[in-house]
Parts: sequence; C-alpha cells; structure tokens
Amino acid sequence: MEADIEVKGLAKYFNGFPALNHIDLTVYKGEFFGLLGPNGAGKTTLMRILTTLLRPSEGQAKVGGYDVVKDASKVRTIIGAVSDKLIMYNLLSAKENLRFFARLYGLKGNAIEERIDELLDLVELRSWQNKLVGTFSTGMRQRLNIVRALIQNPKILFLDEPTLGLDPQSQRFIKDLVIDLNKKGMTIVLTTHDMDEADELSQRIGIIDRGKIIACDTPSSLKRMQGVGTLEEVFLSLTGRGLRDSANEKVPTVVRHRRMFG
Amino acid sequence: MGIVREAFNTVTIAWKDLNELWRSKIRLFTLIMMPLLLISVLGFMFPSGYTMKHISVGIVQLDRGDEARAIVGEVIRMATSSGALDILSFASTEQAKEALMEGRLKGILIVEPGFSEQVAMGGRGSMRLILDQTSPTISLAVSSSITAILSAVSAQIAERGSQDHITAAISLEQESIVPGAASNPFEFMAPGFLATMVMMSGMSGLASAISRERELGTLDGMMMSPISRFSIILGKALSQTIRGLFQGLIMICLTMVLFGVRIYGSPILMLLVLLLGVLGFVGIGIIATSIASEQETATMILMMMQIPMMFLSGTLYPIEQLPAWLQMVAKAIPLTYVVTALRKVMVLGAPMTAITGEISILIIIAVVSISIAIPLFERAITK
Repeated sequence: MEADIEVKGLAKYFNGFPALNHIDLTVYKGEFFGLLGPNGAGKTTLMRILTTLLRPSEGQAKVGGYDVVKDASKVRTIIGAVSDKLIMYNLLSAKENLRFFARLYGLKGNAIEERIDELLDLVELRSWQNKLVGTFSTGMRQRLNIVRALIQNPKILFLDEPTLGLDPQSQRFIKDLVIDLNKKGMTIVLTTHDMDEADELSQRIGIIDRGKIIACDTPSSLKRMQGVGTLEEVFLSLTGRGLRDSANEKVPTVVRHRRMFG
Repeated sequence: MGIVREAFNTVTIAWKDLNELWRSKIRLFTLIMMPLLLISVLGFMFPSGYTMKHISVGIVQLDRGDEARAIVGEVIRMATSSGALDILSFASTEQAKEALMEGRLKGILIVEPGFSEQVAMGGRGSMRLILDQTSPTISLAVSSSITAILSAVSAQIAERGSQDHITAAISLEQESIVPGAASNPFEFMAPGFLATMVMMSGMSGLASAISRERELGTLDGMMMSPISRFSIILGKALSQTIRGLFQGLIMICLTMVLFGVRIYGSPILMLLVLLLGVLGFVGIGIIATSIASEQETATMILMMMQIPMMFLSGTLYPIEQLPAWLQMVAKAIPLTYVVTALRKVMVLGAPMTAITGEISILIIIAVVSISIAIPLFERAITK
C-alpha cells in the first residue's frame, strides 16, 4: 500500500519538554485513520506539524510525498484541515468566507462560484449562503467549516474533533459526510475523544500518550489484543485511569500559556 | 506571475479585513470616534485663533504722540472686534508686569518711547511684546494675534496715507517666544498628532489584528493555505494602513474645519509620507510582537516605544527645545521624520525636493523593518 503520511523519528520540544518523542507513523492512501490520546498527549502537536503550522524539532514528516518543512507550500495545496477552532469569520457571510479561502487556494472566476455552490449544497447551506456566519448555529458553522477545508478538493483531510459539542443530528450528518469523502478516496486523519465515533469511522487507530505512539492497529485488533469489548476500555487500559490535569502531571508552564503568535 | 499572485493574495486579505471592519459597527464607530475625540480634545487644549477668545493683554503707552495714539486705537479696535484679545491699558510697564505675574494678563504690548517721532520721520516705531512664559501655547497664540493685528494696522495706515514705507512702520520685538512656532499654534501641532495617530494604528493595530485571528483560530486557516507569509503580513498591513489613513483623513478635516489649520502643501505628498510611516511602524510593531512571549508583554513593549516616540519626535514641542543628547535620540526615532516631513508639507507647503531626506530615511526604515519582521513573524508562529 502506498503511504500518504510518513512520520519518522518525529520530535517536538517546547522549552526542553518533549511534546512529541521520536514517533514513527504511516497513514496509507485512502485510509481513515483515527488518532486518539489523553489531553496533552501530543495529538494536536502532531496534527499541527503535519498541517505545516509547526516546525518539528527533530525527525521527518512527509504528507502526500512532500516534506512538511522543505515543501510546506506543496503540502498546503493537497491538505484540508478542520481544527478544534472554527476557521470562519463571523462578520462575513457563508459565501464570502468560502470565496475568501477559495482565492487563497488560487481558484479563479467561475470556478470559485461553482465550487462554493457545490459545497454549500453538500452541507445543505445553500439557502444560508448570504447570511453572516455569526448568525449560524454551532452545527451549521461546523458544517461550513468542514466544506471550507474542502474548498480546493484536498487529497488528505485532517479533522480535529469535528463533532465536538454538536447535537446528534449534526454529528450524524458530519460522520456520513466524511465517510462518503473517504469512500471517494480521500485520506482522512481524525482526532477525537469520542471513542464510539473513532470506532465507527476509523479503519486503523493510533493511540498516542506522552508524546509516543503506544498502539496502532485496527479497532477490532486493539480490542482483541487487550481482551476488552470496547475501544474506550482499550484506551483506558493503555493510557491508565488517572486524570491527566492533576498536579502530579509534569506539564511545563510554557506549554500552557498562550503565546503571542504560536 | 509570482508578484501578481502575491499582490492578489495581499489585496484578498486586506479586503477581507476591511469587510469585517465595515460589518462590525462598534469597531467602525470606535475607529471614527478615536480621531474625532483626539483632535477635538487636543485642538481645544492647544488654543488656536479660532478657539482662543478673550485673552487679556495689557498695553503700555510709553509714547503719547499722535502716531502712537492712532495705532494703539486701531489695535484695540481690531482686537476687540475679533474677540480674540481683551486689551487693558496700563500706566507703566511695572504695573502691567505685576498683572502678568498675577495671571491676569497673558501678554504685554509696550509702545516704546520715541515711537511717534520715529514713524513721523519715516522710520520704524518700536514696540515690545512680553509674553507669559508659563503657557507657551497661549503665548504663541497671543504673539500670532498681535503680529497679525499690527500688520493689518500698518496696512490700513499705509492705505490712508498713500505712503509705501508705512507698511514697515512698526518693529515688534518679542520676548520669550517659542522657536519654530507656526502662526496658528495648532498648525504646528496638527501634523504631529496626525503622524502619532498613524503610528499607533500601524504599530498596535496590526499586532492586535494578528493576535485576534490567532485567538479565534482563523490565522491557522490562512497559514495552512498555499500563500506566502509575506502576503499575509502585507495584506494585514494594507488594511491597517487604509484604516490609519482613514483616521488621518478625519483628523485633517477636523483640524481644518474646527481649528483653522491650513494645508499649504500637496495632499499626495502627505499621503506618501503617511504611507511610508505606516509601513515602518507596521514592521516595528511586528518585530516587537514577534519577540514577545504573550500579548500583554507585546502591548507593554509597544507602549514603551510609543510614548517616548510621541514626546521626542517634535509632535508637541519643537525638537530644538530638547537638550542636545535628547535631540540625538529624537533623530533615531522614525516618527520624527514623519512629523518633520508632514509639518514641512502641511505648514510650509514644501515640495518633494524639500523632504527627500526624510522620505529616504522612511523608505530605509520601512524596508529594513519589514525585512526583519517577516522571517521573525514566520518563526514566531511556527516555532
């Protein structure tokens, strides 16, 4: 199988603290890959490196065959990403938001309008196209946020908790949407804390803890290996039941506080 | 193709920013209100001929000749009719000085002995103006009013007598005048305030705009798209520049309408100076915020830079009033060159050739600061 994402010896340090500790990972073309881990395990750091938003301290990561540092601009042309925050401007309409990002991806003229219409139809927001995003419900915003990530028809899609805080209807809609995208050949990397969602959607799952991949296999194999019936039990047996935000956790202050730009 | 693409991305980002600003009525309101409030408050704080009324000035006639009486009569009539000054007569210079010391007068006009005789012989009659040193701005206003009245009086007398030489009949010696002042004191201040406004908009505006997008998460959307960091910075800088120039335009209109400030030079030259200034300030703002670990620190760094810049750049008082070592510091401040160039264009009507020095320095500052800012910005957001 051909790899779409290849990570070798990847490490990222924040003031000496290893947020990622020399991990190796491969995600294959057309695969739906779930990345699970407790808070602060390194999921978001890994996703930010793969989407070229962070530079790795050591090691190498390739996305779509391109190095995330040396060929960052090429990586950006083939990926779409839905982060834990909505990448949407509340004071612009749905159409204006999509048009803005379409232009940044180099789409021009009629191609922009056609693509926007197609995407708005896909998430059933065509009738809302001229309304300000600030007036949208959480579910509508997230649907729009997802098609924003699809504006240039990416080969690889990164989803960071795409159904967080949504009602069951919106969750189902988004799950069906991404399943459909994956069936059409799009490689998808999903991070979530919803174990049922990960179990349902992912063909393989990687569990990351303390900056290391501690398990990586199909959901059924992981359950079988751990001798448990659910993915949640697999997760807890591998990462422990202790709270990760307790005073005993040695998370450096520098990681917690917000930096000006990074 | 590359440059066209960069320019297109820059305009796309700037347009998005301005569209957001237009939609946010509260932000738009604040944007307009800031220069309105600033220029109104400062304009009235630094009285001009338009705002300053009924300032008491004493007159001491040490010469009682016909010429002196006629001229003093005209001075009193003109000063009273315009309402700018209230003229009070004093028998001696000592009495008038006493009143000035007590704060009852802001200036004393003395008609020197032998005034009438000198004028009658076709010479120049001497007058002396003593100003209240405690208030340089009011002193300037009194000085400009008296000077204007005396030249008008001279012109009237010349017309009546058909004597050409009488136009130079009065020589006025002033004491305690602030160097470098324009005829309308606010004309001296206005370019400084304009430049300061643009500086604050450029330095703080861009940093907070980027910070806001960072907190909302929308900066990630731009950073993940295949456009250069240069386009992102330039796009944000362009929208901030347009905002700064818009605020500057409001201030210029207000200073003209409310405070009688006249612009003698080319508006295009003014725009060029402001544009170069903004680019430099944007670069410095990005550098400061890139090296700061968090927004609060960045704000403190920017404040630390902006406040001395405002006071040392000649915005409020001529740089010549500063001690020599502070004048050297002032010359290292970009705002100084924006203020100086703007003042030359606005007050003196200076052409491009008269401000090439300032323009060259501003270009160097803009190029150097933006060149340093872009890699620093990229490193700061991906480290």
